[in-house]
Amino acid sequence: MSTTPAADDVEPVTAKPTAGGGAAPAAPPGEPPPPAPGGMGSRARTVILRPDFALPIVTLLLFLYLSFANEFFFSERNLLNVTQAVAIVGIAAAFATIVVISGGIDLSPVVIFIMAGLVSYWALNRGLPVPVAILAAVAAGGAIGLLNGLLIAVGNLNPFIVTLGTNFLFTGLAFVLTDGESLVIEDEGFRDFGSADVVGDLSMTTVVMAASFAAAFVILRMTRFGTHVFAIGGDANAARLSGVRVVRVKTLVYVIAGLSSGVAGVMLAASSGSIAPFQAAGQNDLLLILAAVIIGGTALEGGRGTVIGTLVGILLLGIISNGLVLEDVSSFWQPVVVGTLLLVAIILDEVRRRAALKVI
Amino acid sequence: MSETTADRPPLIEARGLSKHYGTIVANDDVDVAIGHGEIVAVVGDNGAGKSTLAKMLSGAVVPDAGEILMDGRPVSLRNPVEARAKGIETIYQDLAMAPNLDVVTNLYLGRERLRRGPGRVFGFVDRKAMRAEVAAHLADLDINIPRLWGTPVASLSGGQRQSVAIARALVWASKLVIMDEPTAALGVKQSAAVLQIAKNIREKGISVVIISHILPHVLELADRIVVMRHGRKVADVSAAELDEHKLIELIVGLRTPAAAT
Repeated sequence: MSTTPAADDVEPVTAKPTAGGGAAPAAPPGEPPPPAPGGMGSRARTVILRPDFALPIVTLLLFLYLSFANEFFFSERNLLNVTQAVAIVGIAAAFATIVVISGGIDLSPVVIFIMAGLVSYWALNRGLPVPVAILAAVAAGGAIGLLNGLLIAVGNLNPFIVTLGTNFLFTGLAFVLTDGESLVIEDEGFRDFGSADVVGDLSMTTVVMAASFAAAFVILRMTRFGTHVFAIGGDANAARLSGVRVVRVKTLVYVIAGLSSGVAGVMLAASSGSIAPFQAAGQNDLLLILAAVIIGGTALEGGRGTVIGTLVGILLLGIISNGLVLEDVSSFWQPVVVGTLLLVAIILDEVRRRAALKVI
Repeated sequence: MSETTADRPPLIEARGLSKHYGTIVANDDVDVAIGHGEIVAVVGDNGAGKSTLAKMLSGAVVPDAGEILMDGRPVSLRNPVEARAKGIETIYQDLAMAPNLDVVTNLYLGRERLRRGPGRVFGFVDRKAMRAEVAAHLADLDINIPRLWGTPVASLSGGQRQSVAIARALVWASKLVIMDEPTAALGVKQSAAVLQIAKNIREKGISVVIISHILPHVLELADRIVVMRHGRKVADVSAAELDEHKLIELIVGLRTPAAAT
């Protein structure tokens, strides 16, 4: 391990807790403090630069600014609009985080939205009950995810190319099946489900998004599967030698992502009452999903990231888009802002990485 | 390698192991046996096939031909999980740890403790239990690693990471520990500590296979030395019969052993 040409490189195999004078790791219980022997200044700097701190701070500042600068922003109606606007992509982004942490990437969520919508449309037109239509649509999402997962994990193919392929394939299929036309869903029960308010004024989509983030968080942080996702993202071969069933875990990651996109697709179809295949071709939502994950501090090379970061990322994107409208700024500025954010996020991440390496 | 049937069968006996990578012959018809509580060193030049042999014993590589017996019975070691279930642990040259995870998570990777009760169904891990167990195990083994959780192993020093890898093997091994170049990346002091650990393992009745090209270490440590050349076993001799000079001659092929099977 010749990775540390730094000052005190040689530590005995049975290292005694000899750290200088200050924070010696003498007490095993409790969370150990972050190692920063560089003094208070550098520690404070690395803390602020960490995306997991910088992002909430930026989001909060923007939130406060808009609350004071704009008379409409801080109203119940508007804040519900913000969450409602990002809810569909949020559902997919929660699980896209898991895909990216596993070292992969998934370009197919939005096309799964459309395919799931088409399946529910087809099922409802055949007179199947609403719950069956929903299950069929979610299962279709899972099936596309399984196709992705098998190609990537069993076939050992590049996830970017595989999901780009399925993205094209199913976008085209959606156009073929619909002749490129939007389809209107007639079923009242299905549409009521999509537009229902569940808790107080919280819409069904918003509640489903919240549940998705909670589920993704629990899966990633508390289960063996989540641990294995992190391990594979960190070093897939080491994970394999340690007994992690890499192929199975990787496949499941894409199946879960597909299922969640299927759920998002159902919510999109039910809340809008229609299926619009050209939305998939636009890819705007796909870019928002990936932007939220990256801005949220998840490393594209895998092994590192948080679901909560993605949640804050998606809320930030929602607030920006909403704020631009309320402040009467042309919505053409939105990509400019999102792009800038992405670049800042990735620069911050790199700065942090280097700072962390220096600490070692 | 004495084929006396009256003896207790060796812990592990490999017969006719062969492994090809395309046209390259990594191992060709290799027989090797490791007794209970024995330290066997495998030496040879680069590309002689020592790592491939070790990996076939650890389940990381599946042989093209040949069979492996434990206590006289044929066993299947087609992946690391199968090998570990039989008490075989490996310390890999690159340590094979997830750099982004902490010490406790790495020690339990692939065999996490799950929570009791309903949480078990969902595969909820029991971090508290794992932390307590790791702390106890490491104290037992007299291995001291600061920061057992909360910090990724990537932020530990090279020596500390090595001790994590060793600790992982020691915590789980019940029959055999395979060490692939355990001292290649270490300083003098750290190497000495690793060699001492290998001896301690034997004290517990666990056998050790050590791959190394540091011959003084090999001679000091091993009971028996297997010499590989061009994928074949060319010698299998008691370490007591060898000195460094003779060993080098065997490795480069200047000496043909009388003791080989």
